[in-house]
Amino acid sequence: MVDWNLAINVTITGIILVFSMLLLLVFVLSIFGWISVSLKKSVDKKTAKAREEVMAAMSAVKHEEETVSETLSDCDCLNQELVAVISAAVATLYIDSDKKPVIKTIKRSAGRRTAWANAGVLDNTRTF
Amino acid sequence: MFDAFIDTLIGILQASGFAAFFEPGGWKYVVMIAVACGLLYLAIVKKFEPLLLLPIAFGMLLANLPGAGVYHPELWTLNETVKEINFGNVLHEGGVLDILYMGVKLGIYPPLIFLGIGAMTDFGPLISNPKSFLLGAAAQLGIFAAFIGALAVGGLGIEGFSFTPQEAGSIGIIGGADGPTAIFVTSKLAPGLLGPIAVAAYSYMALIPFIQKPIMRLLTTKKERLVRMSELRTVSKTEKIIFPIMVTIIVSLLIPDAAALVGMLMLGNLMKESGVVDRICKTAQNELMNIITIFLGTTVGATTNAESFLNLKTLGIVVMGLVAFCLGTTGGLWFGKLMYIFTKGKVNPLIGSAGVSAVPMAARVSQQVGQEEDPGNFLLMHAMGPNVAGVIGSAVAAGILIQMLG
Repeated sequence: MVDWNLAINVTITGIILVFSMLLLLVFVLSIFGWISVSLKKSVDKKTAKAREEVMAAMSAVKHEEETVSETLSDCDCLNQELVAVISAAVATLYIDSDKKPVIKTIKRSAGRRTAWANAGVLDNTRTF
Repeated sequence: MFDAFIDTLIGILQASGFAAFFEPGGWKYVVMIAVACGLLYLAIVKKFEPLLLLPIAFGMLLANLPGAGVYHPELWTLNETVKEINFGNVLHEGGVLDILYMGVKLGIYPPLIFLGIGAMTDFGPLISNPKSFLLGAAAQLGIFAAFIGALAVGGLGIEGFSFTPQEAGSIGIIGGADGPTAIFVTSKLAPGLLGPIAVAAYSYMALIPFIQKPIMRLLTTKKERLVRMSELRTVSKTEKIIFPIMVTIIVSLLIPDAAALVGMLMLGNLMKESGVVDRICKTAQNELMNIITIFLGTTVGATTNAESFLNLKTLGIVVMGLVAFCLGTTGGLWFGKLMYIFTKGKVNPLIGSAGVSAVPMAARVSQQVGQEEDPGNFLLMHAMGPNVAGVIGSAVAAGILIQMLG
């Protein structure tokens, strides 16, 4: 004799429970997905903004380089030979590096000691 | 001297397995050995789910060799006088397959198989489109429809063809198209039917392309099959890590009986997605899966002795199992059509049939049928969502059946 009460009870309860459980997971995952997508959008925005700033800075540096090269060529206080010597000294510092330095400005420092005197002091006061 | 030799020879022959064939009921062993050889042919030559069908078939062969003693069904049978399994007897008197069968009886192997499955599954398509869960749920309608059907058939009053609610539940779970889940539920609700149900479940899983395709073409229109779905969003690693933890907590709290299967599935997945336990993840995907597959398949096959297999109930299981499978496919397709209507044609109903848990074969079938109409239509990743959702859905349905019928 078939217990139809049990059969119908199991079937209806089972279907409802399976759907409810998975609906709950759909709901939770949808919220989770929405949060994840929103966070990603905000991170992407910040990254895009930072990229724009870097691009702007790079174009400003380019502009400055052009300006400096004009300035250097027009400046009476610096002759070309002095600029060449300073550039050569800077280049030797980076001789083993992949980085290529760009000299933006050269100006006389306003200290009482000359650069050589400062270098001597630093050398003598360096820690072991 | 010669007489002694002849007597000894006769004694050996009488004690051999061959003599058992000529005893009353001995023909059943011959039939079962032939069935085992037939299944071995399907597994090796036709390549029907060989990873499971080969050990199942060979377990069946070993268990039906008279006198071999590798499996003793009497140690596992419960009746009026024997209410509980005596594991001490099993350890003392059991053969190798009896000892290994303890993993099935105690519900250890299926969760470990799920651990390996979780370690090999990518839930990304499901996370990016959570609505796929509903298709996975719809495909589980076949389980409950077959449950009612098995009870109804039993109610016809045909002798040997009646099923208890527990047996009907075990038959219904075949519709989930998930071998470990079917074995897990059957070992708890109707262990006497474990052999035929396992053989039916894995055979039908191998026949998915043949069973599903005609139903898919019948229940969908050409216009529906031509739908191209929009690309799925990218899922972040954080989402893939939080998903298994979240699903385990929610499902296990609501349906504790599903915790073993769902928990191990999600543990395997978390091991894969976290990326910090590569070594043990590889073990779960490979060595552990292979070991448990061998033990599970062989011992399940061993339960198919003549008494449990050669009867009308097996025929009922074969028929109702096929009905469960077809109804699961139908349920998924119908829900897919509903989603097609509600989304105004954005969802291809073919992915609904992938809601049965046979990963990834059912998803591939959706892809193939879609490509028959439009070779440029790639439905595979969209179908993977319902496909893996079906694994979770069938585990939830299994927990509900065990809770209500156990």
